[in-house]
Amino acid sequence: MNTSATPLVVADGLHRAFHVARGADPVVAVDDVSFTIEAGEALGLVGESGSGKSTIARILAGLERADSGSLRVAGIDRRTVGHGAAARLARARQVQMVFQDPYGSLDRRLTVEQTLTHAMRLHGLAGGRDAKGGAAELLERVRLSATQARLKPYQLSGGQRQRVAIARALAVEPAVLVLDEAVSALDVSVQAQILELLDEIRRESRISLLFVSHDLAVVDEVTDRVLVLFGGAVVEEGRTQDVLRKPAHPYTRLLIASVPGPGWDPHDVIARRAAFELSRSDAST
Amino acid sequence: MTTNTADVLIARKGISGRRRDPLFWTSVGFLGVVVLVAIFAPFLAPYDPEAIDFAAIWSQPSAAHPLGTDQLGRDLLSRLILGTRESLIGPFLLLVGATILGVTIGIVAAWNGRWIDVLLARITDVMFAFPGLLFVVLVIAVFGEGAATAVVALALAYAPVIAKFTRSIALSELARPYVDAYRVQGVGGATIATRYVVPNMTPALLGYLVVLFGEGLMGLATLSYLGFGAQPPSSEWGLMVQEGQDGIVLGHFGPTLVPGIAIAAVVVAVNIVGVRLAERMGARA
Repeated sequence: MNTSATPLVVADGLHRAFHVARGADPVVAVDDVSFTIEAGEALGLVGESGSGKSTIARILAGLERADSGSLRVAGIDRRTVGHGAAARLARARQVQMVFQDPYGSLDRRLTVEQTLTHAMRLHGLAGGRDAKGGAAELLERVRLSATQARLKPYQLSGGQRQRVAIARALAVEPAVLVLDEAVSALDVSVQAQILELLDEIRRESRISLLFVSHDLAVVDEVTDRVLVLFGGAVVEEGRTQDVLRKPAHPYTRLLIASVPGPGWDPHDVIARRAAFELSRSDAST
Repeated sequence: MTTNTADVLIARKGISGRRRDPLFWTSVGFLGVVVLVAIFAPFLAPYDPEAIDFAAIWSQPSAAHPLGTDQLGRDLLSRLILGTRESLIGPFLLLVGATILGVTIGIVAAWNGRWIDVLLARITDVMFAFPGLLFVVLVIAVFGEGAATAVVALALAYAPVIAKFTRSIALSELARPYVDAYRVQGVGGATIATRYVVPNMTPALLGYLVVLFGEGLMGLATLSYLGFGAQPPSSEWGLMVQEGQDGIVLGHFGPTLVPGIAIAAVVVAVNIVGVRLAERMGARA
Protein backbone atom coordinates (compact mmCIF):
# COMPACT_ATOMS: atom_id res chain seq x y z
CA MET A 1 0.00 0.00 0.00
CA ASN A 2 2.84 2.32 0.70
CA THR A 3 4.69 3.32 -2.41
CA SER A 4 8.19 4.65 -2.16
CA ALA A 5 7.04 7.93 -3.70
CA THR A 6 4.79 9.24 -0.90
CA PRO A 7 5.84 9.19 2.74
CA LEU A 8 3.43 7.78 5.36
CA VAL A 9 2.77 11.15 6.97
CA VAL A 10 2.70 14.35 4.94
CA ALA A 11 2.03 17.60 6.78
CA ASP A 12 1.91 20.69 4.65
CA GLY A 13 1.67 24.28 5.90
CA LEU A 14 0.06 23.47 9.27
CA HIS A 15 -1.12 26.54 11.13
CA ARG A 16 -2.78 26.84 14.53
CA ALA A 17 -3.54 29.91 16.64
CA PHE A 18 -5.20 30.02 20.05
CA HIS A 19 -7.54 32.76 21.19
CA VAL A 20 -6.39 33.26 24.73
CA ALA A 21 -8.50 36.23 25.75
CA ARG A 22 -11.27 38.23 24.16
CA GLY A 23 -9.90 41.25 22.33
CA ALA A 24 -6.30 40.05 22.62
CA ASP A 25 -4.34 38.96 19.55
CA PRO A 26 -4.43 35.19 19.04
CA VAL A 27 -1.26 33.36 20.05
CA VAL A 28 0.26 31.52 17.10
CA ALA A 29 1.31 28.09 18.33
CA VAL A 30 2.10 26.50 14.98
CA ASP A 31 3.16 28.65 12.06
CA ASP A 32 3.37 27.12 8.56
CA VAL A 33 4.93 23.82 9.62
CA SER A 34 5.55 21.15 6.97
CA PHE A 35 7.16 17.77 7.46
CA THR A 36 7.05 14.17 6.34
CA ILE A 37 7.57 10.88 8.13
CA GLU A 38 8.46 7.76 6.17
CA ALA A 39 7.13 4.37 7.22
CA GLY A 40 9.43 3.08 9.96
CA GLU A 41 11.11 6.43 10.43
CA ALA A 42 11.46 8.34 13.71
CA LEU A 43 11.09 12.09 13.48
CA GLY A 44 12.03 14.27 16.43
CA LEU A 45 10.50 17.61 17.36
CA VAL A 46 12.66 19.77 19.59
CA GLY A 47 12.31 23.27 20.91
CA GLU A 48 11.70 25.10 24.15
CA SER A 49 8.37 25.30 26.01
CA GLY A 50 5.84 27.14 23.89
CA SER A 51 7.62 26.34 20.64
CA GLY A 52 4.54 24.51 19.37
CA LYS A 53 5.92 20.97 19.42
CA SER A 54 3.16 19.55 21.62
CA THR A 55 0.47 21.24 19.52
CA ILE A 56 1.87 19.59 16.38
CA ALA A 57 1.82 16.23 18.19
CA ARG A 58 -1.80 16.79 19.26
CA ILE A 59 -2.83 17.81 15.73
CA LEU A 60 -1.33 14.59 14.37
CA ALA A 61 -3.11 12.56 17.07
CA GLY A 62 -6.42 14.29 16.25
CA LEU A 63 -6.77 16.01 19.64
CA GLU A 64 -6.34 19.44 18.13
CA ARG A 65 -7.37 20.72 14.73
CA ALA A 66 -5.22 22.79 12.42
CA ASP A 67 -6.65 26.14 11.29
CA SER A 68 -5.17 25.60 7.86
CA GLY A 69 -2.77 23.36 6.02
CA SER A 70 -3.15 19.70 5.19
CA LEU A 71 -2.22 16.54 7.01
CA ARG A 72 -2.25 13.19 5.26
CA VAL A 73 -1.55 9.81 6.82
CA ALA A 74 -1.23 6.94 4.32
CA GLY A 75 -2.75 9.21 1.68
CA ILE A 76 -5.90 9.99 3.69
CA ASP A 77 -6.54 13.59 4.73
CA ARG A 78 -7.05 13.66 8.53
CA ARG A 79 -9.15 16.79 8.23
CA THR A 80 -11.79 15.42 5.90
CA VAL A 81 -12.42 12.07 7.57
CA GLY A 82 -16.09 11.84 8.56
CA HIS A 83 -17.60 12.12 12.01
CA GLY A 84 -19.14 8.71 12.68
CA ALA A 85 -17.79 5.99 14.95
CA ALA A 86 -16.26 4.02 12.06
CA ALA A 87 -14.32 7.06 10.84
CA ARG A 88 -13.18 7.80 14.39
CA LEU A 89 -11.86 4.26 14.83
CA ALA A 90 -10.18 4.29 11.43
CA ARG A 91 -8.43 7.53 12.38
CA ALA A 92 -7.37 6.02 15.71
CA ARG A 93 -5.79 3.01 13.96
CA GLN A 94 -3.57 5.38 11.97
CA VAL A 95 -2.11 7.31 14.88
CA GLN A 96 -1.78 6.53 18.59
CA MET A 97 -0.21 8.62 21.30
CA VAL A 98 1.72 8.25 24.55
CA PHE A 99 1.42 11.18 26.93
CA GLN A 100 3.90 12.86 29.23
CA ASP A 101 2.20 12.25 32.56
CA PRO A 102 2.32 8.53 33.42
CA TYR A 103 0.18 9.19 36.50
CA GLY A 104 -2.75 10.81 34.73
CA SER A 105 -2.80 9.14 31.35
CA LEU A 106 -4.14 5.78 32.57
CA ASP A 107 -7.71 5.34 33.81
CA ARG A 108 -7.17 4.79 37.54
CA ARG A 109 -10.25 2.57 37.86
CA LEU A 110 -9.10 -0.05 35.36
CA THR A 111 -6.51 -2.78 35.80
CA VAL A 112 -3.68 -3.02 33.30
CA GLU A 113 -5.42 -5.93 31.58
CA GLN A 114 -8.76 -4.09 31.39
CA THR A 115 -7.04 -1.04 29.91
CA LEU A 116 -5.62 -3.19 27.11
CA THR A 117 -8.69 -5.37 26.47
CA HIS A 118 -10.96 -2.31 26.31
CA ALA A 119 -8.76 -0.85 23.58
CA MET A 120 -8.61 -4.13 21.62
CA ARG A 121 -12.36 -4.80 21.86
CA LEU A 122 -13.15 -1.25 20.79
CA HIS A 123 -11.29 -1.88 17.56
CA GLY A 124 -12.56 -5.44 17.15
CA LEU A 125 -8.97 -6.67 17.28
CA ALA A 126 -9.74 -9.39 19.80
CA GLY A 127 -13.05 -11.19 20.01
CA GLY A 128 -14.07 -11.55 23.67
CA ARG A 129 -12.38 -14.82 24.55
CA ASP A 130 -8.86 -14.17 23.29
CA ALA A 131 -8.71 -10.52 24.34
CA LYS A 132 -6.91 -11.64 27.49
CA GLY A 133 -4.41 -13.55 25.41
CA GLY A 134 -3.87 -10.43 23.30
CA ALA A 135 -3.32 -8.39 26.44
CA ALA A 136 -0.75 -10.91 27.69
CA GLU A 137 1.08 -10.68 24.36
CA LEU A 138 1.14 -6.89 24.54
CA LEU A 139 2.43 -6.98 28.11
CA GLU A 140 5.21 -9.30 27.00
CA ARG A 141 6.12 -6.88 24.23
CA VAL A 142 6.53 -4.05 26.75
CA ARG A 143 8.29 -6.36 29.26
CA LEU A 144 5.61 -6.44 31.94
CA SER A 145 4.79 -9.65 33.78
CA ALA A 146 1.45 -11.47 33.77
CA THR A 147 1.02 -10.76 37.50
CA GLN A 148 1.15 -7.03 36.78
CA ALA A 149 -1.86 -7.42 34.47
CA ARG A 150 -4.17 -7.49 37.46
CA LEU A 151 -2.74 -4.35 39.07
CA LYS A 152 -4.22 -0.88 38.96
CA PRO A 153 -2.19 2.18 37.96
CA TYR A 154 -1.56 3.32 41.55
CA GLN A 155 0.22 0.04 42.25
CA LEU A 156 2.72 0.63 39.41
CA SER A 157 5.85 2.78 39.15
CA GLY A 158 6.12 5.63 36.66
CA GLY A 159 8.16 3.53 34.24
CA GLN A 160 5.73 0.62 34.47
CA ARG A 161 2.81 2.93 33.81
CA GLN A 162 4.50 4.33 30.75
CA ARG A 163 5.01 0.75 29.51
CA VAL A 164 1.26 0.19 29.96
CA ALA A 165 0.56 3.40 28.03
CA ILE A 166 2.81 2.19 25.21
CA ALA A 167 1.10 -1.22 25.24
CA ARG A 168 -2.30 0.48 25.09
CA ALA A 169 -1.17 2.49 22.06
CA LEU A 170 0.20 -0.64 20.36
CA ALA A 171 -3.04 -2.53 21.10
CA VAL A 172 -4.68 -0.59 18.27
CA GLU A 173 -1.84 -1.53 15.87
CA PRO A 174 -1.24 2.02 14.64
CA ALA A 175 0.93 3.09 11.73
CA VAL A 176 2.28 6.09 13.63
CA LEU A 177 3.08 6.43 17.33
CA VAL A 178 3.23 9.94 18.76
CA LEU A 179 5.29 10.29 21.94
CA ASP A 180 4.76 13.66 23.60
CA GLU A 181 7.55 14.06 26.18
CA ALA A 182 6.88 10.39 26.95
CA VAL A 183 10.09 9.84 28.92
CA SER A 184 10.48 13.34 30.37
CA ALA A 185 8.75 12.53 33.67
CA LEU A 186 10.91 9.43 34.26
CA ASP A 187 14.26 9.26 35.98
CA VAL A 188 17.33 8.58 33.88
CA SER A 189 17.68 4.81 34.34
CA VAL A 190 13.98 4.20 33.70
CA GLN A 191 14.24 6.53 30.71
CA ALA A 192 16.97 4.32 29.25
CA GLN A 193 14.78 1.22 29.65
CA ILE A 194 11.84 2.86 27.89
CA LEU A 195 14.09 4.09 25.07
CA GLU A 196 15.43 0.58 24.63
CA LEU A 197 11.87 -0.71 24.52
CA LEU A 198 10.96 1.82 21.79
CA ASP A 199 14.02 0.69 19.86
CA GLU A 200 12.88 -2.94 20.09
CA ILE A 201 9.36 -2.05 18.99
CA ARG A 202 10.74 -0.25 15.96
CA ARG A 203 12.85 -3.25 15.02
CA GLU A 204 9.87 -5.62 15.34
CA SER A 205 7.40 -3.53 13.33
CA ARG A 206 7.72 -0.77 10.76
CA ILE A 207 5.96 1.71 13.03
CA SER A 208 6.73 5.40 12.52
CA LEU A 209 7.46 7.65 15.48
CA LEU A 210 6.88 11.32 16.09
CA PHE A 211 9.05 11.92 19.11
CA VAL A 212 8.52 15.20 20.94
CA SER A 213 11.05 16.14 23.59
CA HIS A 214 12.97 19.03 25.04
CA ASP A 215 15.78 16.62 25.90
CA LEU A 216 18.32 16.69 23.06
CA ALA A 217 20.27 13.65 24.27
CA VAL A 218 17.12 11.54 24.20
CA VAL A 219 16.15 12.84 20.76
CA ASP A 220 19.65 12.01 19.52
CA GLU A 221 19.20 8.46 20.82
CA VAL A 222 15.76 7.80 19.33
CA THR A 223 15.24 9.75 16.10
CA ASP A 224 16.52 9.60 12.54
CA ARG A 225 15.58 13.13 11.58
CA VAL A 226 14.70 16.18 13.64
CA LEU A 227 12.81 19.45 13.30
CA VAL A 228 13.90 22.37 15.44
CA LEU A 229 10.99 24.63 16.33
CA PHE A 230 11.05 28.19 17.53
CA GLY A 231 7.93 30.28 18.08
CA GLY A 232 5.81 27.73 16.23
CA ALA A 233 7.97 27.71 13.10
CA VAL A 234 10.60 25.27 11.86
CA VAL A 235 14.03 26.96 12.01
CA GLU A 236 16.13 23.95 11.08
CA GLU A 237 15.61 20.39 9.97
CA GLY A 238 17.76 17.49 8.90
CA ARG A 239 19.33 14.24 9.97
CA THR A 240 19.46 14.23 13.78
CA GLN A 241 23.21 13.56 13.84
CA ASP A 242 23.94 16.47 11.53
CA VAL A 243 21.64 18.94 13.25
CA LEU A 244 22.89 18.18 16.76
CA ARG A 245 26.60 17.89 15.81
CA LYS A 246 26.75 20.69 13.25
CA PRO A 247 23.84 23.06 13.96
CA ALA A 248 23.35 25.63 11.21
CA HIS A 249 20.78 27.91 12.84
CA PRO A 250 21.72 30.17 15.79
CA TYR A 251 18.66 29.00 17.74
CA THR A 252 19.72 25.35 17.43
CA ARG A 253 23.16 26.32 18.65
CA LEU A 254 21.58 28.14 21.57
CA LEU A 255 19.42 25.11 22.37
CA ILE A 256 22.48 22.85 22.40
CA ALA A 257 24.43 25.33 24.52
CA SER A 258 21.53 25.39 27.03
CA VAL A 259 22.03 21.75 27.96
CA PRO A 260 23.75 21.60 31.36
CA GLY A 261 27.19 20.04 31.25
CA PRO A 262 30.78 20.65 32.36
CA GLY A 263 31.65 24.34 32.28
CA TRP A 264 28.00 25.23 31.84
CA ASP A 265 26.96 28.66 33.10
CA PRO A 266 23.23 29.53 33.41
CA HIS A 267 23.99 33.27 33.19
CA ASP A 268 25.75 32.72 29.91
CA VAL A 269 22.75 30.81 28.54
CA ILE A 270 20.33 33.53 29.62
CA ALA A 271 22.53 36.23 28.07
CA ARG A 272 22.82 34.33 24.78
CA ARG A 273 19.05 33.79 24.78
CA ALA A 274 18.48 37.54 25.16
CA ALA A 275 20.96 38.32 22.40
CA PHE A 276 19.17 35.84 20.14
CA GLU A 277 15.77 37.43 20.81
CA LEU A 278 17.27 40.83 20.02
CA SER A 279 18.78 39.67 16.72
CA ARG A 280 15.42 38.22 15.69
CA SER A 281 13.48 41.39 16.42
CA ASP A 282 16.11 43.38 14.47
CA ALA A 283 15.73 41.06 11.52
CA SER A 284 11.94 41.28 11.47
CA THR A 285 11.77 45.09 11.63
CA MET B 1 11.20 16.87 62.92
CA THR B 2 10.70 13.27 61.87
CA THR B 3 8.80 12.38 65.02
CA ASN B 4 6.58 15.41 64.51
CA THR B 5 5.52 14.22 61.07
CA ALA B 6 4.95 10.72 62.38
CA ASP B 7 2.81 12.04 65.22
CA VAL B 8 0.71 14.02 62.81
CA LEU B 9 0.25 10.99 60.59
CA ILE B 10 -0.76 8.81 63.54
CA ALA B 11 -3.18 11.44 64.80
CA ARG B 12 -4.68 11.74 61.32
CA LYS B 13 -5.14 8.02 61.04
CA GLY B 14 -6.97 8.15 64.35
CA ILE B 15 -9.48 10.59 62.88
CA SER B 16 -10.03 9.25 59.39
CA GLY B 17 -8.57 5.75 59.50
CA ARG B 18 -10.85 2.94 58.50
CA ARG B 19 -10.98 1.12 61.84
CA ARG B 20 -10.80 3.86 64.42
CA ASP B 21 -13.85 5.87 63.58
CA PRO B 22 -16.59 4.82 66.00
CA LEU B 23 -18.76 7.84 65.16
CA PHE B 24 -18.81 6.94 61.47
CA TRP B 25 -19.53 3.27 62.08
CA THR B 26 -22.18 4.02 64.72
CA SER B 27 -23.93 6.28 62.21
CA VAL B 28 -23.68 3.66 59.47
CA GLY B 29 -25.08 1.05 61.88
CA PHE B 30 -27.90 3.32 62.98
CA LEU B 31 -28.88 4.08 59.37
CA GLY B 32 -28.72 0.37 58.59
CA VAL B 33 -31.19 -0.32 61.39
CA VAL B 34 -33.47 2.47 60.15
CA VAL B 35 -33.46 0.98 56.64
CA LEU B 36 -34.26 -2.47 58.05
CA VAL B 37 -37.12 -0.97 60.05
CA ALA B 38 -38.45 0.63 56.86
CA ILE B 39 -38.27 -2.69 54.99
CA PHE B 40 -39.94 -4.78 57.70
CA ALA B 41 -42.21 -2.01 59.02
CA PRO B 42 -45.54 -3.89 58.77
CA PHE B 43 -44.14 -6.80 60.78
CA LEU B 44 -42.54 -4.62 63.45
CA ALA B 45 -45.43 -2.22 64.14
CA PRO B 46 -47.49 -3.44 67.12
CA TYR B 47 -50.66 -1.63 65.94
CA ASP B 48 -52.28 -0.47 62.74
CA PRO B 49 -50.80 3.05 62.45
CA GLU B 50 -54.13 4.46 61.35
CA ALA B 51 -56.29 2.73 63.98
CA ILE B 52 -58.09 5.38 65.99
CA ASP B 53 -58.70 4.64 69.68
CA PHE B 54 -60.70 7.34 71.50
CA ALA B 55 -60.19 5.51 74.78
CA ALA B 56 -56.42 6.17 74.60
CA ILE B 57 -56.08 9.78 73.41
CA TRP B 58 -52.73 11.39 74.34
CA SER B 59 -51.81 8.50 76.60
CA GLN B 60 -48.41 8.50 78.25
CA PRO B 61 -45.80 5.88 77.32
CA SER B 62 -46.84 2.55 78.82
CA ALA B 63 -46.44 -1.17 78.22
CA ALA B 64 -49.37 -1.06 75.76
CA HIS B 65 -48.05 2.04 73.94
CA PRO B 66 -44.24 2.30 74.44
CA LEU B 67 -44.11 5.82 72.98
CA GLY B 68 -47.66 6.87 73.89
CA THR B 69 -50.46 7.88 71.52
CA ASP B 70 -51.50 11.01 69.60
CA GLN B 71 -54.65 13.18 69.59
CA LEU B 72 -56.64 10.38 67.91
CA GLY B 73 -55.31 7.65 70.16
CA ARG B 74 -53.10 6.23 67.38
CA ASP B 75 -50.01 4.33 68.56
CA LEU B 76 -46.96 6.59 68.09
CA LEU B 77 -44.44 3.73 67.82
CA SER B 78 -46.43 2.11 65.01
CA ARG B 79 -46.82 5.45 63.22
CA LEU B 80 -43.09 6.17 63.59
CA ILE B 81 -42.17 2.71 62.22
CA LEU B 82 -44.51 2.89 59.24
CA GLY B 83 -43.56 6.53 58.65
CA THR B 84 -39.94 5.46 58.12
CA ARG B 85 -40.91 4.19 54.68
CA GLU B 86 -42.35 7.38 53.27
CA SER B 87 -39.80 9.53 55.09
CA LEU B 88 -36.87 7.64 53.47
CA ILE B 89 -38.28 6.78 50.04
CA GLY B 90 -39.18 10.44 49.37
CA PRO B 91 -35.65 11.84 49.76
CA PHE B 92 -34.21 8.79 47.99
CA LEU B 93 -36.36 9.32 44.88
CA LEU B 94 -35.74 13.03 45.02
CA LEU B 95 -31.99 12.45 45.15
CA VAL B 96 -32.01 9.93 42.29
CA GLY B 97 -33.97 12.34 40.08
CA ALA B 98 -31.89 15.37 41.00
CA THR B 99 -28.64 13.41 40.55
CA ILE B 100 -29.48 12.10 37.09
CA LEU B 101 -30.55 15.55 35.96
CA GLY B 102 -27.77 17.46 37.74
CA VAL B 103 -24.87 15.19 36.79
CA THR B 104 -25.97 15.15 33.15
CA ILE B 105 -26.22 18.93 32.97
CA GLY B 106 -23.00 19.42 34.92
CA ILE B 107 -20.89 17.14 32.77
CA VAL B 108 -22.31 18.49 29.52
CA ALA B 109 -21.57 22.03 30.72
CA ALA B 110 -18.01 21.07 31.64
CA TRP B 111 -17.46 19.20 28.38
CA ASN B 112 -18.72 21.62 25.80
CA GLY B 113 -18.59 24.93 27.70
CA ARG B 114 -20.24 27.60 25.58
CA TRP B 115 -23.99 28.25 25.85
CA ILE B 116 -24.97 25.30 28.07
CA ASP B 117 -22.35 26.42 30.57
CA VAL B 118 -23.62 30.00 30.50
CA LEU B 119 -27.22 28.84 30.87
CA LEU B 120 -26.31 26.63 33.83
CA ALA B 121 -24.45 29.48 35.50
CA ARG B 122 -27.50 31.78 35.12
CA ILE B 123 -29.95 29.16 36.41
CA THR B 124 -27.82 28.39 39.47
CA ASP B 125 -27.38 32.12 40.13
CA VAL B 126 -31.15 32.52 40.17
CA MET B 127 -31.58 29.45 42.37
CA PHE B 128 -29.02 30.70 44.86
CA ALA B 129 -30.53 34.17 44.97
CA PHE B 130 -34.02 32.77 45.47
CA PRO B 131 -35.01 31.01 48.72
CA GLY B 132 -35.22 27.32 47.82
CA LEU B 133 -38.47 26.79 49.67
CA LEU B 134 -40.12 29.63 47.78
CA PHE B 135 -39.29 27.97 44.46
CA VAL B 136 -40.68 24.68 45.72
CA VAL B 137 -43.91 26.30 46.95
CA LEU B 138 -44.20 27.93 43.52
CA VAL B 139 -43.95 24.56 41.78
CA ILE B 140 -46.51 23.11 44.19
CA ALA B 141 -48.82 26.05 43.58
CA VAL B 142 -48.73 25.24 39.88
CA PHE B 143 -48.94 21.44 40.03
CA GLY B 144 -50.97 20.94 43.21
CA GLU B 145 -49.90 19.64 46.60
CA GLY B 146 -49.02 16.05 47.45
CA ALA B 147 -46.03 13.87 48.23
CA ALA B 148 -45.15 13.26 44.56
CA THR B 149 -45.21 16.96 43.65
CA ALA B 150 -43.08 17.78 46.67
CA VAL B 151 -40.47 15.24 45.55
CA VAL B 152 -40.44 16.55 41.98
CA ALA B 153 -40.30 20.18 43.15
CA LEU B 154 -37.35 19.56 45.47
CA ALA B 155 -35.58 17.47 42.81
CA LEU B 156 -35.86 20.43 40.42
CA ALA B 157 -34.50 22.72 43.14
CA TYR B 158 -31.52 20.46 43.88
CA ALA B 159 -30.59 19.60 40.28
CA PRO B 160 -28.79 22.92 39.55
CA VAL B 161 -26.85 22.68 42.83
CA ILE B 162 -25.69 19.17 41.94
CA ALA B 163 -24.99 20.33 38.38
CA LYS B 164 -22.74 23.11 39.61
CA PHE B 165 -20.82 20.79 41.91
CA THR B 166 -20.52 18.13 39.19
CA ARG B 167 -19.28 20.74 36.72
CA SER B 168 -16.45 21.80 39.03
CA ILE B 169 -15.30 18.19 39.53
CA ALA B 170 -15.80 17.31 35.87
CA LEU B 171 -13.63 20.24 34.76
CA SER B 172 -10.61 18.87 36.62
CA GLU B 173 -11.45 15.29 35.67
CA LEU B 174 -11.71 16.12 31.95
CA ALA B 175 -8.32 17.83 32.11
CA ARG B 176 -6.67 14.52 33.00
CA PRO B 177 -4.75 13.02 30.10
CA TYR B 178 -6.56 9.67 30.29
CA VAL B 179 -9.57 11.43 28.73
CA ASP B 180 -7.35 12.46 25.80
CA ALA B 181 -6.06 8.90 25.65
CA TYR B 182 -9.62 7.62 25.18
CA ARG B 183 -10.21 10.23 22.48
CA VAL B 184 -7.06 9.14 20.66
CA GLN B 185 -8.32 5.56 20.89
CA GLY B 186 -11.44 6.66 19.03
CA VAL B 187 -13.92 6.40 21.90
CA GLY B 188 -16.92 8.73 21.39
CA GLY B 189 -17.52 11.68 23.70
CA ALA B 190 -20.75 10.34 25.23
CA THR B 191 -19.12 6.98 25.96
CA ILE B 192 -16.07 8.60 27.56
CA ALA B 193 -18.35 10.69 29.77
CA THR B 194 -20.77 7.99 30.90
CA ARG B 195 -18.53 4.95 30.98
CA TYR B 196 -15.24 6.37 32.18
CA VAL B 197 -15.46 9.92 33.53
CA VAL B 198 -18.62 9.59 35.65
CA PRO B 199 -17.39 6.45 37.46
CA ASN B 200 -14.09 8.23 38.13
CA MET B 201 -15.98 11.16 39.65
CA THR B 202 -18.21 9.00 41.84
CA PRO B 203 -15.91 8.99 44.88
CA ALA B 204 -15.84 12.79 44.90
CA LEU B 205 -19.61 13.04 44.37
CA LEU B 206 -20.72 10.35 46.80
CA GLY B 207 -20.17 12.14 50.12
CA TYR B 208 -21.81 15.27 48.78
CA LEU B 209 -24.88 13.35 47.62
CA VAL B 210 -25.21 11.58 50.97
CA VAL B 211 -25.26 14.95 52.75
CA LEU B 212 -27.87 16.13 50.23
CA PHE B 213 -30.01 13.11 51.15
CA GLY B 214 -30.23 14.44 54.72
CA GLU B 215 -31.10 17.87 53.40
CA GLY B 216 -33.77 16.37 51.16
CA LEU B 217 -35.28 14.45 54.05
CA MET B 218 -35.51 17.66 56.04
CA GLY B 219 -36.89 19.58 53.06
CA LEU B 220 -39.64 17.03 52.45
CA ALA B 221 -40.50 16.92 56.16
CA THR B 222 -40.75 20.72 56.12
CA LEU B 223 -43.11 20.64 53.14
CA SER B 224 -45.28 18.02 54.82
CA TYR B 225 -45.30 20.08 57.99
CA LEU B 226 -46.51 23.06 55.97
CA GLY B 227 -49.22 20.89 54.41
CA PHE B 228 -47.71 20.79 50.90
CA GLY B 229 -46.24 17.30 51.01
CA ALA B 230 -47.61 14.08 52.43
CA GLN B 231 -51.32 14.24 53.28
CA PRO B 232 -53.23 12.64 56.20
CA PRO B 233 -53.65 9.89 57.21
CA SER B 234 -50.00 9.30 56.22
CA SER B 235 -47.54 8.98 59.09
CA GLU B 236 -44.71 10.77 57.26
CA TRP B 237 -42.59 12.29 60.04
CA GLY B 238 -43.00 15.94 59.05
CA LEU B 239 -46.76 15.49 58.93
CA MET B 240 -46.68 13.76 62.33
CA VAL B 241 -44.92 16.79 63.83
CA GLN B 242 -47.56 19.09 62.39
CA GLU B 243 -50.49 16.95 63.59
CA GLY B 244 -48.96 16.54 67.02
CA GLN B 245 -48.43 20.22 67.73
CA ASP B 246 -52.02 20.74 68.92
CA GLY B 247 -51.07 18.73 72.01
CA ILE B 248 -48.16 21.02 72.99
CA VAL B 249 -50.39 23.67 74.63
CA LEU B 250 -52.01 20.87 76.66
CA GLY B 251 -48.62 19.57 77.77
CA HIS B 252 -48.48 16.54 75.46
CA PHE B 253 -45.04 16.75 73.87
CA GLY B 254 -44.75 13.13 72.73
CA PRO B 255 -46.57 13.38 69.39
CA THR B 256 -44.19 16.16 68.19
CA LEU B 257 -41.02 15.05 69.96
CA VAL B 258 -41.06 11.44 68.72
CA PRO B 259 -41.05 12.19 64.97
CA GLY B 260 -38.93 15.32 65.54
CA ILE B 261 -36.18 13.34 67.23
CA ALA B 262 -36.39 10.68 64.51
CA ILE B 263 -35.86 13.33 61.80
CA ALA B 264 -32.97 14.92 63.70
CA ALA B 265 -31.28 11.58 64.42
CA VAL B 266 -31.43 10.37 60.82
CA VAL B 267 -30.26 13.72 59.40
CA VAL B 268 -27.33 13.93 61.83
CA ALA B 269 -26.29 10.33 61.08
CA VAL B 270 -26.54 10.94 57.33
CA ASN B 271 -24.44 14.09 57.64
CA ILE B 272 -21.74 12.32 59.62
CA VAL B 273 -21.58 9.52 57.05
CA GLY B 274 -21.58 11.98 54.14
CA VAL B 275 -18.87 14.24 55.51
CA ARG B 276 -16.65 11.30 56.48
CA LEU B 277 -17.11 9.70 53.06
CA ALA B 278 -16.14 12.95 51.37
CA GLU B 279 -13.04 13.18 53.59
CA ARG B 280 -11.96 9.63 52.87
CA MET B 281 -12.50 9.87 49.15
CA GLY B 282 -10.66 13.19 49.12
CA ALA B 283 -7.73 11.60 50.91
CA ARG B 284 -7.66 8.71 48.47
CA ALA B 285 -7.82 10.74 45.27
